[in-house]
Amino acid sequence: MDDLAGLYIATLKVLGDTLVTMTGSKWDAAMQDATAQQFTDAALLMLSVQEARLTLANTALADILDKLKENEDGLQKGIDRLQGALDSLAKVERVLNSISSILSIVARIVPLVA
Amino acid sequence: MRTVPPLVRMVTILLLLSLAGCVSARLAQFSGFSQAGVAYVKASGTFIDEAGSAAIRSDSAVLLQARPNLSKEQRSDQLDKHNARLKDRLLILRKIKRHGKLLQDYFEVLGSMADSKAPESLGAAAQGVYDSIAKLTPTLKNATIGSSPVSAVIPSAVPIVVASLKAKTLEKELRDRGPLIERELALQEALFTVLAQEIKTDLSIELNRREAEEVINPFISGSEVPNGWATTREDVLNTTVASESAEAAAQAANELRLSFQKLAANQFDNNALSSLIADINSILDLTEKIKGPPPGE
Repeated sequence: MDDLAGLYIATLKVLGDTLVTMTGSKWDAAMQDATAQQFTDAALLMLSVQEARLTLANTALADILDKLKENEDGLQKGIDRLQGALDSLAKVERVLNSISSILSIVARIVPLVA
Repeated sequence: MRTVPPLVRMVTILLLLSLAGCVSARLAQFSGFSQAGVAYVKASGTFIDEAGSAAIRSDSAVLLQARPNLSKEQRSDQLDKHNARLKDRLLILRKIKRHGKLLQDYFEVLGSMADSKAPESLGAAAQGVYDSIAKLTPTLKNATIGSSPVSAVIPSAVPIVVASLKAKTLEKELRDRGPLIERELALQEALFTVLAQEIKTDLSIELNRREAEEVINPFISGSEVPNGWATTREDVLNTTVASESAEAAAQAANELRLSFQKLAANQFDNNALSSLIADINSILDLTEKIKGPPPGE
């Protein structure tokens, strides 16, 4: 339970960190050379991250313990990968892929409207 | 220089007077604590309102940033989804506020009991208020706000030892429900601990956008810097720093809980009251500093 609570907290934290990064000026700079498709993808992913953050945060931990347990490994890897991508911000595509990947796991835990 | 809000100033003076040189100093302490408890609930209520506003503002910042890259259909769809999630969030905040309001009612009953002639019927009133509080408690304990489940941060119980009192109704109340109220105050502390984390993230998102769009972009662009740029910059930086003190409400809740313990044990004095009032003031101070710009700006 403690491990799962920790994982849950870490998931919410990385989702919050993602939004903080994507609303910051460094992200704007990183997106300078982005393609139109990347801008659209980034916009939709940012909104999905916010939705996931609000949905997870509005859900009682006790209600999703089983699903968290089922997805424990994937979620932990997704968090590490996304945190790494956010820390370096070297490639926009890598950040977007990491966000996409973690959202697909979060969607198995709480219902997200795609 | 910051000014102390008139309500707090008045409460502070009344409380200190009520504790000084009173015939029944011990009972006056309960009166003082009761008024401080009411002031705490009012101050924490403004913080909860601000937490709700910050959540909406940060969500709006995200929506507005994404909007230029979305089709009309996507905009409509996203707005609906985000509105629904925010309503859920605001509902939880409303329950926290309701919990505080019921504690305020309890503190008022406790204040009325601080009289050696207080009728026994006040005990039934206190029981009624407590029953209402207890109905809300499980939902709030199980809630997750921001990045933590509330239950994970509820502090351990402190023992409530009741020293003998002339007001027997009050003494009985403290013996019957003192430990239960201590747990409700611990729940308040936990709620504000997680709300603090949440409000920090929401403010970071909102302030990031403001900083990029209203401070950085206008400054580095080739155009003239807009009027009010320096003021906006000052506001963004000051609010960013203020948001780091978001734990003020949790600190005040902690102080209130420990004061309740001291009060029951006859260890509550002017110093404890002053410290409690300072913490209540810091909630109001923080809320004032992190308030968003007035609507329409």
